[in-house]
Amino acid sequence: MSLRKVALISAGSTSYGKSLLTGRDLALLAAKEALERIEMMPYEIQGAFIANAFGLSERQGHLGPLIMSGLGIPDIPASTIEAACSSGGSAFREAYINIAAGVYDVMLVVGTEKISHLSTEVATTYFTFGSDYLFEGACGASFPGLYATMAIAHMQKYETTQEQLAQVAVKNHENGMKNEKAHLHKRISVEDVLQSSIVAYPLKMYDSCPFSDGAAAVILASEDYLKKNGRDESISILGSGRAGGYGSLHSRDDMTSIRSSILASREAFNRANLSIKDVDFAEVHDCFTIAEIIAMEDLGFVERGKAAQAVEQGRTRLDGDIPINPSGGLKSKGHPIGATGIGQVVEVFEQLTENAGERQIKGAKIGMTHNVGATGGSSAVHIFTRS
Amino acid sequence: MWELQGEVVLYTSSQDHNSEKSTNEGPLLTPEISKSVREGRLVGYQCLDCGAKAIEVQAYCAKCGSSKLRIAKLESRGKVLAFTIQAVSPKEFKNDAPYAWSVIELDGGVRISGRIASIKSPDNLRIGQRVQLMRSEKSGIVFEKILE
Ligand SMILES: CC(C)(COP(=O)(O)OP(=O)(O)OC[C@H]1O[C@@H](n2cnc3c(N)ncnc32)[C@H](O)[C@@H]1OP(=O)(O)O)[C@@H](O)C(=O)NCCC(=O)NCCS
Ligand SMILES: [Zn+2]
Repeated sequence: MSLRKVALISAGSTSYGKSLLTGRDLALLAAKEALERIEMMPYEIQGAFIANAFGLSERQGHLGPLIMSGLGIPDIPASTIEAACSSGGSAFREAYINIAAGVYDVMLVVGTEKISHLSTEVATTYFTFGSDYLFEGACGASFPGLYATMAIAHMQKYETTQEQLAQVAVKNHENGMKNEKAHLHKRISVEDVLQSSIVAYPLKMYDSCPFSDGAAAVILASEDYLKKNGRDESISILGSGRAGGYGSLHSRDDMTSIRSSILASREAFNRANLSIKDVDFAEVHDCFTIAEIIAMEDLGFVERGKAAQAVEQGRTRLDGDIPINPSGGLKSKGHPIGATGIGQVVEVFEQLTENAGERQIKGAKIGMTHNVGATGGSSAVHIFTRS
Repeated sequence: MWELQGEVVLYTSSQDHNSEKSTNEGPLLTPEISKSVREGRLVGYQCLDCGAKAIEVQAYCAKCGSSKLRIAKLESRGKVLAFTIQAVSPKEFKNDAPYAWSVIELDGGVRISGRIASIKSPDNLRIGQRVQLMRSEKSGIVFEKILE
């Protein structure tokens, strides 16, 4: 079956951080911003996917109908996609497929999460439900602990240092300073990172993303529909990739790499008929500093074991040759689980439409998103360009 | 603040009636793994077609796709491949923090993960450290250092 061309036509998001609103409220605000931005009425939406991981901590499942009703379109179908931290990337992919296949012409994808009503230890516990709980969560592992274990493996194999990991956080906090919607607005130094409290050795607080509330929304449409209705294409989706992997760390031959990222990016680049060299900037999954290092190597921005050096040389800064996480990333922009993967697409939209203000990457034409579920049980990669 | 309700049931004995099997044929499911851990031993699955062995909840072999699996005894000693010392812990493990959690390669090559008892600092654990399984009534898989 040949796929239809799909465009990303709008994007919106709430600020990330601690909120008194519910996941449902946040979703409505993000969706409203995306609709208003292109003066679209909700009734043009034909279907939706909701990305949400921990709604049950708010005692709320089945968010779809609540969000659609709140938008005044109760008849429109909406299902929740849960894929831990890659819920957003996965929901985006499903909407893309539905339009590419010709089932719908216009879809809304909203990612939302509300977690700040939980104490640190209860939130930490909820997050472990995304691990292979029998072997990991129920045996004491937390998410920071799982990524810390990967960090130790990477440090052993490639001599990566804690100072180098810290550089990732410093860069992402710097970018976050330029993003008014980011959760953390704080310029930090390598020393600050090294001095911050240990969460799971060798990862410290400033190596970790915060617990964030927030929502992000995007609207996708077929290019056919846009032509017929005289709307701008804005951004084209060139490639979509998604892959699975073992849920538990111990099942993998190599803990210093995430195979699902490699496979998802391979699919996305094949579909786009492009290579990593064509990418002008990327929003990658940096839930912990080590995750950004591993992502750079898995996606092929640098050779294995060379990512830390590239970060040290400033190559991934806004003015570097491979800018990574211009939004501030999960580290500084924040990580509202279900919203994260959609929020990455929102940043690509801002960059490719030249709306990224102080953090604008000049002349950026091709952007990519990379969203990992848990420690790599699944990944989603998408590639975009200006039309 | 909203509190988490309910107990972790995976490793408690309330589920034993589910795991009464007359043979060791068939898929490896959660009650069998939990029961063995509680009794201080480890079981995995072994593929009768390709010989692959692993500790997973598994209906088809992850290496060759065969459904001819049997439950096999695993070694209870091995070495640490990578580890962390966790300071911020999930609720159930609050009183133990900080503690070590690690990925381990058992003798014979099967990999597993779990806590390492009585380790509070990275100075007291290294990659390659020899460890052995401890009997753990309730709180999952726990190893201890082998003092050689
Ligand atoms: C690091 C961590 C334990 C800190 O949580 P906490 O103790 O609940 O932090 P608090 O909410 O009490 O915040 C205390 C201060 O530190 C700041 N802070 C919290 N987490 C932070 C982080 N990760 N990075 C930088 N600053 C952070 C807060 O903004 C707050 O600052 P303020 O006093 O100026 O307002 C927590 O953020 C964490 O576990 N992060 C990882 C989340 C995770 O695993 N996500 C899934 C990834 S796959
Ligand atoms: Zn086999």
